[in-house]
Amino acid sequence: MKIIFDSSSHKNIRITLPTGLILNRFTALIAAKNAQKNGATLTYEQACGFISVLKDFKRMNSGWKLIEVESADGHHVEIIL
Amino acid sequence: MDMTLGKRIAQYRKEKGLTQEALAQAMNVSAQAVSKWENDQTCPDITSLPQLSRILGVTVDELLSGKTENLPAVTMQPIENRKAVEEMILRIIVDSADGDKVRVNLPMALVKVAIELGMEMPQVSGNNSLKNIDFKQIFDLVSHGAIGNLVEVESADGDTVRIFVE
Repeated sequence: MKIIFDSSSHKNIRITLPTGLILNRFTALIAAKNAQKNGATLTYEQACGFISVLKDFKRMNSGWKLIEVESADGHHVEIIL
Repeated sequence: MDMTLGKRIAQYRKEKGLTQEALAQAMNVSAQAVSKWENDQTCPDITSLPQLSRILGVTVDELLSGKTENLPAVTMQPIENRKAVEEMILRIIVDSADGDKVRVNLPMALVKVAIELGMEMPQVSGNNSLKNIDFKQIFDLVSHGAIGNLVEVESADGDTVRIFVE
């Protein structure tokens, strides 16, 4: 997974992370805990199921641009699977 | 009628409510340079196009070609032409009045699981504009062969949210 942060005023950042480090049961647990803390209904099992599908999709569609954000003040963020 | 690059810069600048001086300042060039761009006497430097497009709130492609991000209209696909829902893509396009742009490209397989798990999209995106959008209904529409620009919402604040499936 790649996280790209380009800024017109600051240094650009490129982070490449192993998918296994981001999408695993431990991060599912953190996601579920945080979701519940913020009032959302996401259980650990649901988060695991979601992550499992995301990992399968990544295997078939490596390099998929999941999210692209462009702010008015010139910042650009991309999350690529 | 084909518009020149200069005319498009002038049009987008006016739409943004910027003066030539303000644009020049944001681009760190002189007001005369902007005037020359708009009168097609010179062109902006190619390396400055991403910055110029960001200031004008358009993509570089829109700036250069004048093509806007046209989304396909809704069509109903006959059963024999339909792709499997899991192979389809749901795109969420959010353009805020402040000029922020968000593009989310979600595989329908992921949307399907999220719906089955009872997740609500605003929980994932954190965007209030998506609060009243029923993704289950969208999924049902797609399952029945509807593709294209399925949702278009324009808020009073000037934010627009579009959802299309391809």
